[in-house]
Amino acid sequence: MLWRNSLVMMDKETGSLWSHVVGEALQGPLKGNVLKTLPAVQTSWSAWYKQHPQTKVLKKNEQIRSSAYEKYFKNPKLLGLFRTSWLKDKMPGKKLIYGIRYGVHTLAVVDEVLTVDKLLGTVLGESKILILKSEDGGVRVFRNERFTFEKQKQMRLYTDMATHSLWDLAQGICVKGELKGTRLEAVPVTVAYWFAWSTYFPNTAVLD
Amino acid sequence: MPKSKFYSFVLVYIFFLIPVSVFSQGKSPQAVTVIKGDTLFKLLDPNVIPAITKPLYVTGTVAATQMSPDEPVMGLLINGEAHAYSLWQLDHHEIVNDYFGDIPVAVTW
Repeated sequence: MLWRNSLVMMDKETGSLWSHVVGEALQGPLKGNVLKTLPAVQTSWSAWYKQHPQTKVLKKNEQIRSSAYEKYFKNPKLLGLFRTSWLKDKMPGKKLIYGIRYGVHTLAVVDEVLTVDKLLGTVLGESKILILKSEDGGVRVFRNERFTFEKQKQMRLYTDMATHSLWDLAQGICVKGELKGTRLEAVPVTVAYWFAWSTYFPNTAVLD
Repeated sequence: MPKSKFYSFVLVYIFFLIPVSVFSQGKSPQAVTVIKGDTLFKLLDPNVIPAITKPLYVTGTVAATQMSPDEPVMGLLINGEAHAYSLWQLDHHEIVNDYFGDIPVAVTW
């Protein structure tokens, strides 16, 4: 099923219907329940494997050597199947954005404002967040109220000005120094088409 | 006990795709109901795009012989456990019902 041009899931236990965009049960016995969204990253196989050599990998059908959606990706005119009210004036519907949700606040970030390994700080509602695009192409977002970070020259690491501890911000974790082991709160990021994001979140802020 | 006990966690990581099989089946979509002002459409019967319910895994060493270096993956790290899912594979399933230790996670695409 599709709602607002996106996947609707059904749980086998109750038959309730769930939106995979907002994680909310739309209909059925569990209507109104909301699942917790967890942060993930979209990257390439080689980059992920390099960072996580111990990773488990979902067993693949080896015949599959490309996406089933190549044509859909490439054709700017192919949007959703059904007309929805998305914000046409701001940018093309097939523009990919990094969608960030924190509480009731939403933000769409365009790729052009991000530079690899350069932190971008901004505000979402009352929260300060850090956006980081890594060498692997993955974009990660963390809530950060406390620290001012400075990039290290040689390594892809950062130090905080207050304690000079060393941070791996691709993981959001302090790896050396006084704060070793401290984690920043990761905020889920969704790679989405603008037409879909703006259908779901018409009040979204845009960083472009 | 909350009803939603078994659905405590979901990973929503999405690309907002429309199943291409919809077009090839030549079925016309049925409007089921209206939710929050937008129509819910039924296009396919349940399980035409089968979710993965018992995921099988291989090690990175094995996967490296089957995956293209630039193959897009969704990567998930929970409590030190890392899982990678090929997006080309997920095109055909859309949902993986997975566990990280005791934590149930629905990986959706």
